[in-house]
Amino acid sequence: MSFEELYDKYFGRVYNYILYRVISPDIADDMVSLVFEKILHKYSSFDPAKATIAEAWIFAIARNTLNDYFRRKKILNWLSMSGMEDHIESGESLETDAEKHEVTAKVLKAVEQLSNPEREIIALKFTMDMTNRAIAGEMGLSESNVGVILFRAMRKIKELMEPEIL
Amino acid sequence: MTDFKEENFGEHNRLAVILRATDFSSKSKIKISLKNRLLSKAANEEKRSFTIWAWLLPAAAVTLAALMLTVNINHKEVEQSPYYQAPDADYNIYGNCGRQGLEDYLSAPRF
Repeated sequence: MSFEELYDKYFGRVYNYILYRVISPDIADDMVSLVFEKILHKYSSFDPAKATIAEAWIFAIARNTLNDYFRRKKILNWLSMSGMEDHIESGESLETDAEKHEVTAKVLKAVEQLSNPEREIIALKFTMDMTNRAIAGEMGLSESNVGVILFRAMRKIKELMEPEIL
Repeated sequence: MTDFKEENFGEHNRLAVILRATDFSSKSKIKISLKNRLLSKAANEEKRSFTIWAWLLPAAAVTLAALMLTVNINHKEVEQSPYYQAPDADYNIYGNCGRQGLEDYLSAPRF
């Protein structure tokens, strides 16, 4: 698999995963750029023949990049410099998107209301197609705990989205 | 990872389908530009890595030539010792007739 094929195959999933976590499309664009820069940088050490490993490898890079972002954001919050980020992530821009892509925007807006672990589980489940067991392994939770959080998160999303969509 | 059919979200099945099918990547403003930028970067790096190593071949040739030149300049003919004595030219294991073993029939006229 060439880098171009890899990009075409995984861009959507990586973008969805990141957007579920950061909510802001602008930040998601920046994060995705970083992720694919890292993938390109490490591409020479990657064995393209192993497609299943590719998925886990790309996911690990995406997750690490996001963790770095949240760590940085936490430090900025601590330094009381988070006003700008809060503004960016307030979802104000979603109003215009909602007119164009109603369901997509409503999903995103509902996901925005979730807690971080809930958002992470939803992202891993529905963008990375991971099993509850795999998610539990990644997040250091029990499998049943993941199941409970997942269903609770889905119930919240359902309540937040308009009933006619569901 | 997992087959969606294996999972049952009960009352949330419809939502699960929506969540799985929702593709936000059309929101991305950089999808195409990032791809082009990364591909050209990869091509440039490939070219650069070739350029980095390309000088190695002529450099190696020049080094080898210089080495050979140095060796040739410093080369001195080893003169034979004046005390060297050639072995006795008359001595021959086949004798003076020149017969080389019993199978040497051509030497017969020389006897």
